[in-house]
Amino acid sequence: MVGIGSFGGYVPRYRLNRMIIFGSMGWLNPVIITNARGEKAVANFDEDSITMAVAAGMDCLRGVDRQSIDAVYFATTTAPYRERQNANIVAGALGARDEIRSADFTGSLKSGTSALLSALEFVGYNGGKAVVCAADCRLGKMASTQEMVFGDAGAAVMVSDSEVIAEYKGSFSVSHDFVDHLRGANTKYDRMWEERWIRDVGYQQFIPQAVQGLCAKYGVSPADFDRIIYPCYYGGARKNINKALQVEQEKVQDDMLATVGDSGSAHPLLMLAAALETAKPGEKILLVSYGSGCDALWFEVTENITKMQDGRGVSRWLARRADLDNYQKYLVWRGMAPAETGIRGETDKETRWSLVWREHKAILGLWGSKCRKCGTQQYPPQRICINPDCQALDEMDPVYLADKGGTVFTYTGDMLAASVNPPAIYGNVNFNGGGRTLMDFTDCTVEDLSVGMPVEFSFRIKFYDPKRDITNYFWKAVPAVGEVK
Amino acid sequence: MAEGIRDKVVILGMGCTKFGERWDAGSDDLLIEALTEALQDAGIEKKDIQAAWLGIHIDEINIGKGATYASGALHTPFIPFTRVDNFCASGRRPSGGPPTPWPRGPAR
Repeated sequence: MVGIGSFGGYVPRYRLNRMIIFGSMGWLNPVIITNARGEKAVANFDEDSITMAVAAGMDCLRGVDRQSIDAVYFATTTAPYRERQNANIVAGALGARDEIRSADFTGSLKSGTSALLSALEFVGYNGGKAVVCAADCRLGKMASTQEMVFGDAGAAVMVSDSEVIAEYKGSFSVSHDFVDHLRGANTKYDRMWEERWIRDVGYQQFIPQAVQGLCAKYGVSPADFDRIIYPCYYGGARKNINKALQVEQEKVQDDMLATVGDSGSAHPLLMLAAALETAKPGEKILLVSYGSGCDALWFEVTENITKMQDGRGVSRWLARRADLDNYQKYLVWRGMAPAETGIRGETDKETRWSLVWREHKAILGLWGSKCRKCGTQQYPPQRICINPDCQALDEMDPVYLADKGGTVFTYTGDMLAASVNPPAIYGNVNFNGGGRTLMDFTDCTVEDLSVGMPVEFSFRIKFYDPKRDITNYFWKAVPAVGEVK
Repeated sequence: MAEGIRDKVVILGMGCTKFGERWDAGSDDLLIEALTEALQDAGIEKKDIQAAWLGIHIDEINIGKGATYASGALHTPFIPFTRVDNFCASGRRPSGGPPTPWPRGPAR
């Protein structure tokens, strides 16, 4: 049986109340008040589509042997690299083997479900496990509808040929060169066409077309489904779509517009993760994406679902929130406005690719080493054992530390270091199981930290080299969100 | 009259890495490779070493400040480890460095 083996979500900690956007920019475009309800999730200054995809993947792969993964797919429309496989950075961070299939899915907001379909087909054909990680970090211009509506988030689904929590029953896709939103290869901000046209011709035609196509193909009716998941941030259009499909409102999954915003490629999978948090065995789920057409996928929840309802998904991240009470900070974090970081901020940081390749396991997956002679765990990976009584040479086994967590050993806040989120917070972290390293702390203030407190590791942008357009990643320490139930 | 170090010190052993385009090895690997060979040549163990010197070309384009990079990779005992930057002559200076403190026993 092929289907979903696990799911995960990720919502960044910082939330921007939409009235703050209106308060800052309403003078330019007062009509944005119509979208000024609730809040949207905003990626931290050190987050992007890759880091959020990894965070969702880590959530999804709790308890999963990383060696068992056969494919890693990454879906986004905001990849940091055009050439350099983004999915390999994600796969490396998740601790997957090198001998896997990997691919980037991009170009439309249905790329998340397209990646999921490819993963289902991969596992159907080859067996094993495939992981889909999707995330988006789209930008709208200041005072635009998109700025109001778009939110940043990630979601992940693991497809498996055994112990599935939701069996894959079938799919139907439609593909249209229908341009409602557009970003050219050299464009930073989303541009959209007339909204009535997007609603009437886009959402309200294509989503029913995909659903009715699936129903006709398999001889079922929309009313047969217990949960219907589709993204559409127009409330009126949602009502019309529900009416056209003749489905009851309560069966339609909340679009999280008021808490997250539209997270692009990730959004259908984020809504799916939220649905699976509370789904019951036997439920029929219809998942539909939207963007240059639609993918519609039919799943049926199995008895295994209860094993995965252990805190993974979206709720835990939604609860871990902090107000971003400052519109200017949002502009600087998202690279929409230049900010002075002093002469130190101009320091040229080169990337030595030969070194990155030699050390890629330690950098991407936070792999350390464990001595076969004395059992001492150490980071960074060593050839000579650090234990003074052992000192064995080349007796190391690799050990994946990214999911092990640790504790704060020392910390400081540095107002002199160049940062767009001062003070830069860093210090020594002890790994659970042994080893210690110097790390940045993120998603916290200095006041949140104390010596000995538990931390989790989060894959983040370590630094961006604007001269060469290189985004470099490493793990940072984040105060532990709380143990999974 | 000033006393020289003649007949008071010896080069006990030496090691050298393989030459080549070493994409497989970082500076830590090269240090381990050279020291391992030197220790074998000398017939002593790492714990017998009482002081160490590291010579690098220039720190800005090399392995960084200080000698901790070397002591960390080699996990030397708790001994003084000193870095020397002197361009192409950096390697000679460390080997010439020891005689001054060495006969007096720096680690005592």
